[in-house]
Amino acid sequence: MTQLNPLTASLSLPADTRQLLRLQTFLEELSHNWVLGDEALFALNLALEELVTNTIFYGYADKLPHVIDLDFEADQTGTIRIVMTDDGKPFNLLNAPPPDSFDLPVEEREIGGLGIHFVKTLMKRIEYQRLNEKNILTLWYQPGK
Amino acid sequence: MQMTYSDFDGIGVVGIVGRLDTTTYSDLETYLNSLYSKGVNQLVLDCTRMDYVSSSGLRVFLLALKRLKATGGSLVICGLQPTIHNVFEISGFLSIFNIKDNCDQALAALL
Repeated sequence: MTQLNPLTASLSLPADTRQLLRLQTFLEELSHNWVLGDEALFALNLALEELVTNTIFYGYADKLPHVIDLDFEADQTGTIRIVMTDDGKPFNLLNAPPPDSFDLPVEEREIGGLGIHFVKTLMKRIEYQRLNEKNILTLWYQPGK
Repeated sequence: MQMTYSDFDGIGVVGIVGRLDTTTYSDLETYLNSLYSKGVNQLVLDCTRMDYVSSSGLRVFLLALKRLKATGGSLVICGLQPTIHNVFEISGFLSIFNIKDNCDQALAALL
């Protein structure tokens, strides 16, 4: 299930919020093995928690069990490529609306869209593909960006 | 996530310890609701020992601010670690919350 080595790592996560602790533990292990540092670990935790949670909450039209696959690969420059694959409804976060305007008074601010805004802010590059009924999201994270 | 509570002359200080995320935010939300129902409307959220927050956690902060503003109360947040401060900045939250460096300054702002 969970496989870690110096170059690639992968996690198959049941689409259930009760499994989020596994994501956290996995990222801590990855961070340890790849010597990522606190800032990178924080960024990966935040971006992936937001993406996985979003998929669990809004991604599925049925109540069947689903799995979210996360594949990690580090290149020689230290950039980490993450491929997230799920079999949920088509969702391209690159087309998602931005969060509420920061100029709105607090009474009118809503939290919606903030998680995706974090992902877009933290990641260096993002690509989306819909292939074989699956969402395939590829993210590039550069520590120290 | 764990919480601490102190009462300073009617001001409630809630310390958040650990991770405030999708799996823990409802504990804080429930606890804050219980404080409001006991009449606490001057609140400090002490984040000195909070080492992670996601949008689920930020939602609880935003709801707390809305609730306290609506009832004539006030909220001060203090002790943000640098990474958390960065998340507040990305969220546009630095301008809508009253944020102090530490608990003493937060209490001074309310007394």
